[in-house]
Amino acid sequence: MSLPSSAPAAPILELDGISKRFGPVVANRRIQLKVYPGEIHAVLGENGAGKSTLMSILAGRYRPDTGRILLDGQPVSFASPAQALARGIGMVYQRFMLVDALSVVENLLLGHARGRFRLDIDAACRKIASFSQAYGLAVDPRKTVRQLSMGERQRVEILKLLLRQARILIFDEPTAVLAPPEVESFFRVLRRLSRKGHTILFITHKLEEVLQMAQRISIMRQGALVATLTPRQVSSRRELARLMVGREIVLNVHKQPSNAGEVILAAEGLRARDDTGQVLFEDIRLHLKKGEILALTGVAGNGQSPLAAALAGMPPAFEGRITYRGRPFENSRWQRRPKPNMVYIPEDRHTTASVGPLSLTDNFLLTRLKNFRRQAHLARGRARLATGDILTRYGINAPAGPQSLARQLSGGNLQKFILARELDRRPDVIIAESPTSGLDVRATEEIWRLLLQQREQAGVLLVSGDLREVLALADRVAVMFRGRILATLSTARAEQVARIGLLMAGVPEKANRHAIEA
Amino acid sequence: MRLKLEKKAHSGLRIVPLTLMIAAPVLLAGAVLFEAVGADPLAAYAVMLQGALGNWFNCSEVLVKAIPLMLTGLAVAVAARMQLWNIGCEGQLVCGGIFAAGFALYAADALPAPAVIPILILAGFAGGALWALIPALLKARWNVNEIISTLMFNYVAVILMQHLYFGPWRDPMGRGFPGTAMFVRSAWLPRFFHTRIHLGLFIALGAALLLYYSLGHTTWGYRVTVIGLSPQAARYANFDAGRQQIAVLLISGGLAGLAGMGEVCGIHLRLQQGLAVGYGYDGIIVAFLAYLNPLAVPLVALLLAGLIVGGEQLQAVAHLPASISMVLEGCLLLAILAATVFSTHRLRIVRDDEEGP
Repeated sequence: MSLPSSAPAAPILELDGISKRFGPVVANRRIQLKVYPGEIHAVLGENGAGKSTLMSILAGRYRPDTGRILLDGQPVSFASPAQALARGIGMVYQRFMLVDALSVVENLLLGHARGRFRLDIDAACRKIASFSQAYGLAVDPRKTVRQLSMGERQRVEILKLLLRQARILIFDEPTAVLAPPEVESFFRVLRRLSRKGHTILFITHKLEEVLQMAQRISIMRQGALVATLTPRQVSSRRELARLMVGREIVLNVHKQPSNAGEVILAAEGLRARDDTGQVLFEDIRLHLKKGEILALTGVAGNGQSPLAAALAGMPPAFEGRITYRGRPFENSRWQRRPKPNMVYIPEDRHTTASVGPLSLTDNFLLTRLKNFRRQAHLARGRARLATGDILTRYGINAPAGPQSLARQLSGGNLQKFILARELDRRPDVIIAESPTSGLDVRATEEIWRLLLQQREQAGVLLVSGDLREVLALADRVAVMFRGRILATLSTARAEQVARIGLLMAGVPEKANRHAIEA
Repeated sequence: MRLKLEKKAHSGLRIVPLTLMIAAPVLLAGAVLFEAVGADPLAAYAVMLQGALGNWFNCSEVLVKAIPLMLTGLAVAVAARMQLWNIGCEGQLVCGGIFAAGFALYAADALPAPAVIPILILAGFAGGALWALIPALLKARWNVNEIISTLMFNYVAVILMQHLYFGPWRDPMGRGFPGTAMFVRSAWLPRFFHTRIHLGLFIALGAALLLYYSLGHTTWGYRVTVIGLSPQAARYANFDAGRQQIAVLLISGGLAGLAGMGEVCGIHLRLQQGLAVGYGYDGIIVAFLAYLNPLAVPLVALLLAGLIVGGEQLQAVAHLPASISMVLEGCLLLAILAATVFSTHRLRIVRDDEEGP
């Protein structure tokens, strides 16, 4: 395999100053990137670093606000994924775009058999078989997509692009849904595609994959491309992890040292599986003290979210034991038990923590129904006054006061409203999941301040993959990887903080084997 | 070039354009239809109007027809508030009628006269609720699609009823007429104003008020609304969605059962052919035209009843097919659905090179 750096080829694709904003969020900031023909190029970064946006721009799904895309040295502009595909750029999304009820061949013919009335299924099957053979993409064209494994579905997606003569194939987290043996065969396919002259771009946050597969690595952080390297230039995974996570810590809030009291919530031997039997989290042991903020961090999808929900008494069902104020609970008793002093701020604020088409008064009632009723009668008038009161006290900007619909509020104001509703109950345990995701700097700071204030009378469990947030707020950090807590570290000690990024990437390290209870 | 439906910044239409938008296409479609069957559209409309509102008796018949429509409309509306689609009102109506008939035939004699009517009302409600129970349990326990299950139960109910009045419950004195014997006097719903308007009207209006209050101003109604709008939020708030699904479907079935009881004990005075004439399905139209608002249901039911009674007059007076009123009913539904879309959206022509959002 010849490295493109040694071959003086011209770039097949060049991104020149690409920027993209979504409202106040800058997803991509002046990206410069060259991709050479036939290379396997990894785009590495944390969740929210802007990788998917950048690739979607390449594939014609979004248009950049500024900057140029050069294909074979010529500037191009795509209004749709179809136009990008017509020029040979195709993307395999994380959620496959296949019709489950149709067969493989029907899926491959979709949008492809235009202009012909009669479908020659047999001829199409023969063509697919020859492509399958050539690229090692074994799949039965007559099978229904629903019957296929995730790996086979991915092969169908690749075939879809190859049949349309894609030269540049983009993969969004291609191994996320694959079982380990499928990952191996997927890598073999990638190598074969590259040998046949196809250019591969793949998005990932998995360090091992990058070092194993990529010929060049571009690292993105907070919307910017921070480095492009070859694997030889990378001295260690540690370095790669540091580049990916970054070291800079912005402290916008002033945090007093914690004054932790008694343990208020504890978990012992917690484990849970999803509907298909996959382990969501296991072997969980943690305790939360009054007066501290404990962060639960990790790359998204490593079990933090289901663990937070289970601790809050929502599905999934767990095995093991939760102890609250010294009283032990098993799953069913914990889920049934009303928890007036425990609040949960779920990540999804638009459809779980609030109901968009209802007024703020009605949204206020969502968790406060018991305080505003006379027998069956709903004391909505009183609830409206209470809602108006928290709007003023927490400085929430609502166009029509308590009558405003939840969906009329900006993300930051809605999140402030949800926090206000919950914190006003004077809870002793707060479980907050990604409380500032998607919010601008000002709203983020206000949310942080509210959470820090709560530390006085409550234990706060902060679930967040945003290290900036974790380091700004938390006293201790539990790092999760593949459903387990790898270590619990103190944010007050620099040498422990330095290890967080590596642990998030799941890099095993001797010193980390012994979980440090700070 | 293509047409594109876009969301408007400010939703809403003024009442005058809205009425025009709904009435004009319906009247126009009717006019075309009348022309096609060789009738003068204006004269035909006059017959319909005369038939529905021409005199006090015709007006009272509109009210009589509106009673079951109100009840089935409320039944569909209360379930739809929770995103449950009860297509089984027809069967629940029949089952309510069967229960009421059973009590009227075999228990009314033995009971003191003042107790009979309240028991009949309970029986009607219980019959309808019972017919909704199995779909409700299937839905809450295994998430079985209630559209299919409630629909299937309609056919079972109708056949069960036929079995009863052709078989065990058939009137031995009926000279082969398919139906039960006439009920005893004490099992007849009281009628008012020397017309066929019966107690069912007040039951329906009372149910509309009660539902309006309970859906809008009780903790129960609040829970139902939240569960309907966002199951995730309901789970977050620890509302028991399964239990409420069962409760709402039972109430819905019960209301449809009351409609059947009213027809059997207020109009037919026996269980006979002609009970399952589609009021259950019309209830779907009524509920949606009323935007699921319980207070609007009686008004829409009156409108639809007017159309039906007017259509019957077309046949009786002008010798035109009564089914024309069903066509008009369909046009009305389509026009109102279109108006709903256009109160929040507008149609725009876009060129192909314009980028979609």
